[in-house]
Amino acid sequence: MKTVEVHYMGALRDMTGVGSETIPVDGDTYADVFEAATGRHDLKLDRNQIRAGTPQAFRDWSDPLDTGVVYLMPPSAGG
Amino acid sequence: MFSLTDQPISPRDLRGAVAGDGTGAVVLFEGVVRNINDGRTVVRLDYEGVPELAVHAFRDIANEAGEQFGITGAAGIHRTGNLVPGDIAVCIAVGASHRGAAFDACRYIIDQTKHRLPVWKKEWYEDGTSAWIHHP
Repeated sequence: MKTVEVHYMGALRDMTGVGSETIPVDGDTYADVFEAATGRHDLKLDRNQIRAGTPQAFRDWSDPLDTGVVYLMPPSAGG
Repeated sequence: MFSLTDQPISPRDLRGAVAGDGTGAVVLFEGVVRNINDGRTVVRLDYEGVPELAVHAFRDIANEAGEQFGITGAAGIHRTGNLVPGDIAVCIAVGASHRGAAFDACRYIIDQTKHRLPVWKKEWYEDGTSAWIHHP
């Protein structure tokens, strides 16, 4: 079991009620972080609508978890 | 060149980053906070983003524009923090040999920026309610 600092961006912050939190993750991919985070807050989200990343790089859900800090990001709304 | 900033944007600052000896045209785009969206009066926009990821995303977009249109340079800056109508939210500058490529590339970059940059905005309305744009 790993612990990961998860940052919820945009609407995800309001949906979880926290900006970031350290949570236990059972697994070693970014998909496992998604499952842990959404399960914890009982959120029903389409994973295809969400992007994951480290503070430095975007990651695919199947990528091995190579950081202790993960950003979960809803669809962009820039401009 | 790209950055997120919590300070007011000066479009002039971007120009020097895209103009070189081979540049015959510079197109500068300013995205400005509007006071109305979908019929509702907007009094404030809150922006947030992930700085380093935004730099990567913009670099990818600018490289694509370079490959498609041929440009001499591209630069962008996007606001974070609390903005009000009239404030510049995003500014894109593109330099190219000729105006056609500069216009086309600037259009491509701002369109892609709105969809791909890790930036999010929350609109606040005059009745005190708010909504994130592009709710998942």
